[in-house]
Amino acid sequence: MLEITRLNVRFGGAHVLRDVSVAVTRGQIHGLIGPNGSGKTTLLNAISGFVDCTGTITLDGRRLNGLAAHRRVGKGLGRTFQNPKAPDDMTVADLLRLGEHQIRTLQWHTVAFRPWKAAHQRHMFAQRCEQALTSLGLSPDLLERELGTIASGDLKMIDIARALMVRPRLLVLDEPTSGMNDHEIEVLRTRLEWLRESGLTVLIVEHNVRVVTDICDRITVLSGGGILAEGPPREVFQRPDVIDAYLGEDEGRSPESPPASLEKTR
Amino acid sequence: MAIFGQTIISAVAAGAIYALIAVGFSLIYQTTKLVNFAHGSIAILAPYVSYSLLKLGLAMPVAVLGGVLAAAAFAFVMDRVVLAPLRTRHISVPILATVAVAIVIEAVTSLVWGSQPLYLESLASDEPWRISGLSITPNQVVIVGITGAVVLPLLWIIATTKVGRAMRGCAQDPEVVTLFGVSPARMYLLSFVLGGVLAGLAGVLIAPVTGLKPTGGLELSTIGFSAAVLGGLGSLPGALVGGFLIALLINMTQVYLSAGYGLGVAYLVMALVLLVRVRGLFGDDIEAVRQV
Repeated sequence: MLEITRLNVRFGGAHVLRDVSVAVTRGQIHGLIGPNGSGKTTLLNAISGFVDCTGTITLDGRRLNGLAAHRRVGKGLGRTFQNPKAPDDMTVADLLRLGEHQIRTLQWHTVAFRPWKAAHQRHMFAQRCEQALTSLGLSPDLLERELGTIASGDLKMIDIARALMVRPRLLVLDEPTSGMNDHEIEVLRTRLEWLRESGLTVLIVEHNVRVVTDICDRITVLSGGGILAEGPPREVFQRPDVIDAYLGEDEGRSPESPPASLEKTR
Repeated sequence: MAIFGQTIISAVAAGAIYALIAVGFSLIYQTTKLVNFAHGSIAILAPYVSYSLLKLGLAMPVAVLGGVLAAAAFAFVMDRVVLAPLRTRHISVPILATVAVAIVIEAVTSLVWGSQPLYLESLASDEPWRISGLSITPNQVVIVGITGAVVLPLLWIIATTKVGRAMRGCAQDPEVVTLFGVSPARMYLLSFVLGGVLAGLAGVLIAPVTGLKPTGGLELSTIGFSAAVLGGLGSLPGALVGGFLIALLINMTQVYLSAGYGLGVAYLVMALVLLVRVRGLFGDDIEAVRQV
């Protein structure tokens, strides 16, 4: 599905990603974990075309690198951000309706010469917007609210709804659960599992080890810009080097007492 | 009373032209967050090109169309060549670049066409109709008609279509529209070309009234900017209303105070709005202006 081969990213003199190769299988939820600064978000940015890289990235056999960021969306890529992209004075409806661009409806000739069809398409799209919110446990009343007035947990969900509006085949999520409460995490988990059943592939950067072990089919551990481990979460989390790398970021905690979340997974 | 009525009539005609300029100004601002100080200069390029096309023996409508297309083409090139490479810089850099473009246009037009004013024929007759003591020229009717026929559909398109939404989205956060598969660069280009068409139209409409001189560009930019700021930068209906209000103010000043104060009033309004109510009448967000 998604094949990343020998990916390298340099920022000036800093070698942020070194020879990273990841393969994500269709219909799986693939976790990407690692301590802060290990290059997770940079990897996502390289996939979506926001940073320059060398190496190859292919989606369903089609090369992504070399394509402008907006063209990659057309190839089936949707992504969210750790801090949701939410222009303050845009309404939720305005944001979601930008998705009209990708679904190739409402062409100018339809609007001009077949207004009844355009009206129908608008109606269908409005329903999709509503459904995008309700399926993530949000109220459709949010549609007319401005993004600047919405709570951060809801914003994360809206960002995911936004990414789904373009009907991606690969959904890339950057720390979706940070800022969410347990109930919201549960809603998201259910939705992701439902999406997986319906054939969507997900690449997810996630700190919450519990979430990772619960929903991911495979995980890749990044550390210092390279790949440390890869495999099913339960196996990977038992590897001593992974535990070390993970504990490295939690200052003040002794290596003998791993964090509770990690303990539970064993 | 007759003088008052007459002033209103010429203000409406002038207002239509200023509105064309101001809407273009606001359109570019609402997509790119850029204040295009070359806007008025692009506007006067159109009548200069029309003038030369007329000299070549082309018919009036063809010459006018050629002039407008030339302005749009210039805006296209300006976006691609001058502004696109500066997009990653701080917003003040491309804004200064538009000032540079304005200076270049002024210098080049005086080199090519000379600094003496040129005169261009009106699109329609200037022979007035007398209606109950007031005179209205066919040309004034044509000016208002063309503005209405161009601006109103454009406002509707920007307000209701997905392209309009994408243009507005660009100003808010280019990465968001990118994630919807839309190229922000293309939206910037589109706003510039549309702005160029509006500016060119305004140019060919105003040149027969005021005469054509290389410094006219700056004058138009000032008036257009004042009108756009008055209406609230980035609000297209605001720019439309602002254009008419500024024309009314300028014409009233010229008639009742002194002919020389007209442009001064435009500057004064701009300064007052920026000082007292940066949002203008209908605008909401004007951060870029604060930054400049």
